[in-house]
Amino acid sequence: MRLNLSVPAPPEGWNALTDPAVLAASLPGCRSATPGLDGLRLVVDVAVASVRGIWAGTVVPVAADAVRITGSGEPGAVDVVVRADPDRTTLTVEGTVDGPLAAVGSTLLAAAVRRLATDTLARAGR
Amino acid sequence: MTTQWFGERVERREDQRLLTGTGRFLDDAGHDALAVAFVRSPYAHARITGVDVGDTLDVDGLVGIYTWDDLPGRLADPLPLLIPHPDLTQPRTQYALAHGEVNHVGEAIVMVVAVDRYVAEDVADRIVVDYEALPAVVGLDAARRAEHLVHHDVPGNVAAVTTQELGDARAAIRSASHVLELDLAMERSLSSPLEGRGVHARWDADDQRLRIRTSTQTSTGVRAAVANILELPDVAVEVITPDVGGGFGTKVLHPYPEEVLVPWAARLLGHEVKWVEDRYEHFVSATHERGQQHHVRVGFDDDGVILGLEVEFWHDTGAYSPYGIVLPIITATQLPGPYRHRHYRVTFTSLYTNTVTCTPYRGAGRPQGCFVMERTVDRIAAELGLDRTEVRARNLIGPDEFPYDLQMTFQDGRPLIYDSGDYPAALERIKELVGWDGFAAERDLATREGRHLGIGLACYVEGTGVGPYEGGHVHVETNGRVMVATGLTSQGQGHETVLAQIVADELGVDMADVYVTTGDTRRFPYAVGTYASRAAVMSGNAVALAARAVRAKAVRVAADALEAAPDDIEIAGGVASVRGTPSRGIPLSQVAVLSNPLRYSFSKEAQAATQFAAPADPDVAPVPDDEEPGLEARDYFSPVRSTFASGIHAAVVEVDRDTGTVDVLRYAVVHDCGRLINPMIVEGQIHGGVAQGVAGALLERLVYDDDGNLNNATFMDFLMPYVSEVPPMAIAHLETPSPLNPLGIKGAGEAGVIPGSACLAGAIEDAVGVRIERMPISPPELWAQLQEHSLKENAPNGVVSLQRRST
Repeated sequence: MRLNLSVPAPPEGWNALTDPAVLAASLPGCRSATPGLDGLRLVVDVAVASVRGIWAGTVVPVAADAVRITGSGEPGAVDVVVRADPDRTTLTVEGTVDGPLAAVGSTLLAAAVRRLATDTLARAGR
Repeated sequence: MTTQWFGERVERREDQRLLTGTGRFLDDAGHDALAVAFVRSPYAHARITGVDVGDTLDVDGLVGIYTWDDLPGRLADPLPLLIPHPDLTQPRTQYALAHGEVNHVGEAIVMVVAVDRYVAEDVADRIVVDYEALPAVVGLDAARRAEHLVHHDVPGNVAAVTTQELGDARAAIRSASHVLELDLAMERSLSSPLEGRGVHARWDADDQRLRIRTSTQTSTGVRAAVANILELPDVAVEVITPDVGGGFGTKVLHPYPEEVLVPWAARLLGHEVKWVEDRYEHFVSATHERGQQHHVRVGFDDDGVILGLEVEFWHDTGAYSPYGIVLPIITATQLPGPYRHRHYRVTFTSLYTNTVTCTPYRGAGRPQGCFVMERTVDRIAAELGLDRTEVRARNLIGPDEFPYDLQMTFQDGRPLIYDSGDYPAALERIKELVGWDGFAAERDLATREGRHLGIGLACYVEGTGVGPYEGGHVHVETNGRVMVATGLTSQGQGHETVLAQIVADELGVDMADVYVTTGDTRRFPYAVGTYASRAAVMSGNAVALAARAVRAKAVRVAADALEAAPDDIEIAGGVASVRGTPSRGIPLSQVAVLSNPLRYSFSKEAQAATQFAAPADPDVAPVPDDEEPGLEARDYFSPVRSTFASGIHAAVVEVDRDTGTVDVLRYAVVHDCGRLINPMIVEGQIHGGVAQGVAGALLERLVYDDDGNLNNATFMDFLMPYVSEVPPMAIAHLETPSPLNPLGIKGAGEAGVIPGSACLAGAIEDAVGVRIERMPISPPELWAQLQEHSLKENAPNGVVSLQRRST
């Protein structure tokens, strides 16, 4: 399923996301966020509608203002690029989601991702 | 002693389960299924500008939320146009989920799947859809004015215009010594089965098969549509119609959006999914029917003989036209009734409105046609001061005039030719049955008591047994059970009983040994469906033909085993024996064993079919070229055209002039559906039909406001008859066999409802002397008409001012 949405980002929200400790504390359901050879390794408890389970993946910078998040797990496979606009007040999430997460419906998935991003950014920006 | 089942009042097999609470209805399946609820449009006409599901994220038990954007491939296309017609120049069908625009209150926009219906409904409540309201076109007046359009690209809201003509009606009317014009209208109603629609689907990942239970009148139709839309092989889709609690027409539309969405969701989620329509959903998303306006011009002579008839009418097809223009075609072609028309012209316009789509509801365009024709004949009688039965008698087609060619095209695209009937005999019979000739005295007596009685009658001819075909499969198992399958579905009419009666007779077995399955594509994959009073005619003849083939094979096998000539074999009571020597016989169970040469025995009886059991001709193969193993056969019945049932209803009513209340004192029915398979079942069909006919005349209507809200979408406000509103009725059968099928039968399912409004309008008019030109009629409406009438009579110049009317 294609995912394409944007959320407003608070000041400093984006910068904080590159800090593993901040991310671990900000991302709802985050079990761990540790630096690895290929970027940041994430393990997250995902819960969207009735899709529940552990998801593991990586966050790899692909540009100054963009990271690629890829990974898989019981909830499904995710491959998205999160990009900040030049003044870093808006983030766009674009990519694909497959597996059970892709079966919940695009509107619902977008709403869940939007909330996840908004909550994470809000906490990270504090 | 041979028992004859055909024609007997055999008790319905279905009733044991249906009347003891052990039927298996749609909602009895899938207790562990995920449940579906829909967000439906509260607007009659609007653009959808957004769907916000943000408030649903924390609802425990939510599984998925789907909009049009989620629908893949063909599921995102408009649903099929079921019955295309060259005159339907602007067909429109809906999307499974609304695509940017809604065209009636109740149109589905969002599908919610959750662990149970409670959660699904809670989620649906939390979804916010943003709309931009558009002007709604509600009712035929608004559709005809066309100040606003339902579909922006359909000019004048006109879906189709069709004209058919026999002779030269306009010229005939011009030259007639009497000409009348009438405006007649009928309002919308709906089917209201006990259990509404519903779908349960299970995706079997191991077999890669979809099994669907759906409350439909055509399992094979649903199967073809689902396989096509979900792009699955036909063989991977099984559709089963369980007990459905009635259909009355509305369930013949397919696929309803839910019938493709629920199977799609079951496959997507890998879990069984179920949706069962609630009553509000039935009112706003199951199809309606009946809304039509008619203008009539009729020319006739001094004797009341009709010389020319011209009818123009406007049909409300609702928001979409998936069923084509079948309904107005039926009105147009069935309107002539049992009368000899030499010049008849009919034109109809099918119009879109922002209300629920219309497809057949029991009667399907015929109640309107009957109402128009019979009101017209009543007016001719009134104009000439003739008895209404006399005018009818002078116009009836005679029993020696069959086949009677109306030179029109019927709803099945085949010629409209009445195959048989005896209308004058029916007229004589109804007069006796209702007490027509003695009624004047009865009325005088009542009048002296201050009571207002009236009598009315209405005749109809009904095209039944519409093609293209149905099939039957008959299989005698080695245990003696006779398994019968036909593809069309049952909605409780009694197919299991009558088909078993037919097969038992054809095969010479006890009816108790015959088991009938309907509407299961696993058992019979080729079928059309149950509509147009066709099940007995189509499947009855198909199973009869299949049973005859089985019997012929049983005779061949038994003759061989009994070392007798096939001509000497008779089958009765489930035993094949040599004529004249009943002791030399073998049961059909054993014939079934012998029909299937075995290597491996599976029972003591089966040993007889094994390779060393008996000497065999070494030069004949165990299964010769022109034979197949097994005592079974499949055959199809496909008639050249419809067979036409007929009948006349008559009623005596009492009207309370102070309240406008109509009490139907007695109701009489003469009915001719050819040979009767089971008179009790036919009478049951008539009882139910008359109940719906009376309801359609006096109670049931759908009330839309100008914005397109259905104001009476509950059983508190939509009046269905209690048993207390169903009049006592006398029924007489005539049996004019149809020459168009081997059993000589005609359909009986819808007939009872057809003349209700026409008959009661005539009776009410007769009781109180005001013209009844719109049905249904409610007590307040009749009362208002009576007030206006009496004011007019008392007004010096015949003019009634509004002011006076309101005092």
